[in-house]
Amino acid sequence: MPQKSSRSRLAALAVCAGAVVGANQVHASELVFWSVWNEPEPQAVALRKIMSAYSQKHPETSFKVVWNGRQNQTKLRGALQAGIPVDLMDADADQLAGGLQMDGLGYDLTGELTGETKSAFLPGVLDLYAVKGHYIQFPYIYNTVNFWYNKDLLKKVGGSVPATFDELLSLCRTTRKAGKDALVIEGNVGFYNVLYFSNYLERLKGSGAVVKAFEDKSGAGWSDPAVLAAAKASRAVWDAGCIAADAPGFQYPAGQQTIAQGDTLGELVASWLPTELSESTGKDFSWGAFNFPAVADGKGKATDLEVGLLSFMVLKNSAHPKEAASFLNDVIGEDSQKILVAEGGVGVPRRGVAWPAALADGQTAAANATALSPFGGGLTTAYPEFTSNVLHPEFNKMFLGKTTPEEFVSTLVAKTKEYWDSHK
Amino acid sequence: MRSSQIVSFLKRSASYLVVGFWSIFSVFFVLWIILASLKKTRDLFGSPWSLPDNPVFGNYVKTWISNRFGDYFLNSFIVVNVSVVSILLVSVPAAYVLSRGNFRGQRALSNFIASGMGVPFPLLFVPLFVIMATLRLIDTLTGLTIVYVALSIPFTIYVLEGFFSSLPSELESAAIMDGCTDFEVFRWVMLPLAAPGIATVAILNFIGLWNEYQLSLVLINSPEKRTLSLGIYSLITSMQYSGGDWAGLFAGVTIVMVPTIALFIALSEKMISGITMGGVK
Repeated sequence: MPQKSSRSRLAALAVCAGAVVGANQVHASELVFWSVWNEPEPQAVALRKIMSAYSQKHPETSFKVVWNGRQNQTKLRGALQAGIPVDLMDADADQLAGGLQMDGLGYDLTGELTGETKSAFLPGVLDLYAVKGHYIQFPYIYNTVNFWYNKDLLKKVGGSVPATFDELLSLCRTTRKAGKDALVIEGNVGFYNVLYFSNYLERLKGSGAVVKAFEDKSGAGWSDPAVLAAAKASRAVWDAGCIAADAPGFQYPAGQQTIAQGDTLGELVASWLPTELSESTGKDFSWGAFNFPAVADGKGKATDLEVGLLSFMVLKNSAHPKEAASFLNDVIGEDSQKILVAEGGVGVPRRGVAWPAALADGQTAAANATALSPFGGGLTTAYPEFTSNVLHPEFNKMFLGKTTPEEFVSTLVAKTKEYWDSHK
Repeated sequence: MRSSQIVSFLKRSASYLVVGFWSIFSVFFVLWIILASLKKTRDLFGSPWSLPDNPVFGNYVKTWISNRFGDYFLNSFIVVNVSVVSILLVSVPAAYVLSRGNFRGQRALSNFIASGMGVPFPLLFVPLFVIMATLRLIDTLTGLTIVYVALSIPFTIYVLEGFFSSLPSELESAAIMDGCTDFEVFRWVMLPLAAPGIATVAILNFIGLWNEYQLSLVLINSPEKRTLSLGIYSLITSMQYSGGDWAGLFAGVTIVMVPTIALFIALSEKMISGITMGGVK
């Protein structure tokens, strides 16, 4: 009898165990992730840690990562054509918005993001690339566009952070008197240089002014006096001696290296600059950042911000979209975001997570942002073809003194009309 | 000195001047790259023309190990060597037959193969990608090797045809009279005579494929299968957003340059004799 009893108990246990296993049974899924990072980069190191931590919490999910580097989106297009399965990818948010997202290849995350996830983001970040309230891409690295400068040098030349554009020009003169240059540019990087134009125009007319000017299909949007004023202000930084006379000859990264060498105060660029220069500056370099200053009679606020984000996107044809979305909910979690800061050395979009010390002013700008627009005013995102073929090269010509602001504006008017006539 | 001698002297001096200036220019930049690879990034931009104070050999270690240039070097080495051998195996007999054979459509076939040189590679990206994906050879070093071989054959045959045409036909006739078969004539008489020409095309193909970038970018996805040129490109692009290790980049460039320079040094005489030989028909 005791034997029979123990057998029945064992049988009962087995049935119960089976029931429990059955209730918890989940299909193991391997998420295929194609990344914009190269394997040795610190951001890749951070992502590996985040994925590993996620797999520990969710043993049913594993990751297969292809570290493609910056050609990720281009390579992904080929892979999709060849039928190679990919669940998740990441890229520069602007390029993604004008690329795979615009082509409708992203999975709609709107129903997959938890309330906690949506409320975790700093103001405006998640909505910046949303299409009619639908979230297709998921920002996870946050770069702010500001003047990034050497705090010690600012002190040494006796300058102070400018609040207005006139004060910026005055700072240039002060810096020049001290034998240094206030600002530097890269002669061959049109999409950096155009920041003077887009930021000034947005300060005058408000956030989104660049796209708005372009979307007048007659081209007349550029005839607004504010556009000419923004173009003239861009030239004014040269006339005030802000930038060294030989700077047009600088090819990336020659310009920014002058900041590390202590010859120049700063540059109008995004918050990746301290990281890019870390090999040259060392860890003790005293970085500061200030927003593009206010302009007289401007509608835009000095706290409006242009940003450069990096985002994940779940592919529309992913075999595991819900699992991928679940991972994204984890990426914005406090632990994951702290790993990105500590290991990746980047700014992050989650509220309340401290950015690396060198980027502290960037975080302040992000936290106080009253309006966000994409890098360069958003035209790259919405109309990449016009931006790269017309706006950037034409602006650069004017900025470097080869054409006048008036010629620049009239070219924009004519080319915009041409664009819309051919895109009816 | 007669006036013709003066003119000849001046012409020769001008040639030496141009070639000398070009050589100094080239050697200077190769040396500059090597010296740059031994500096810290800060010194590279701060004092670009100075010699490195304390050579930083760690740049090479970092590039070779952390940036996986060791793997990329091996991939390039395998793909390029297998490609060059395969190209020669196909092209040498083909060029011999096309230059010495006598059959209908010989000229048309020769011109058809030569026309392959005129097709720009970018036009082939999409069809190549689709074909290789269909054959399940996309993202494989085997697939890349096959494409390299296929696209290098027209040039190689075209050049080798010139070499074979320049060889005296009397030697062939003598060998046939001695009882050699067509294959024996090719193997034991013409092939050794064409050795300088074969060395030339081997070197030219090696250098061309060693530095090839576009096709490998299209056909290779996985980082572990990257060739050196893709490795260099990924290193350049990673300068944005990440800490710009420019000195490490120059270490990578030096690693890429070494095999081609070594090959030139070892085989330059053969190559020059091959080129001059092929030029005389």
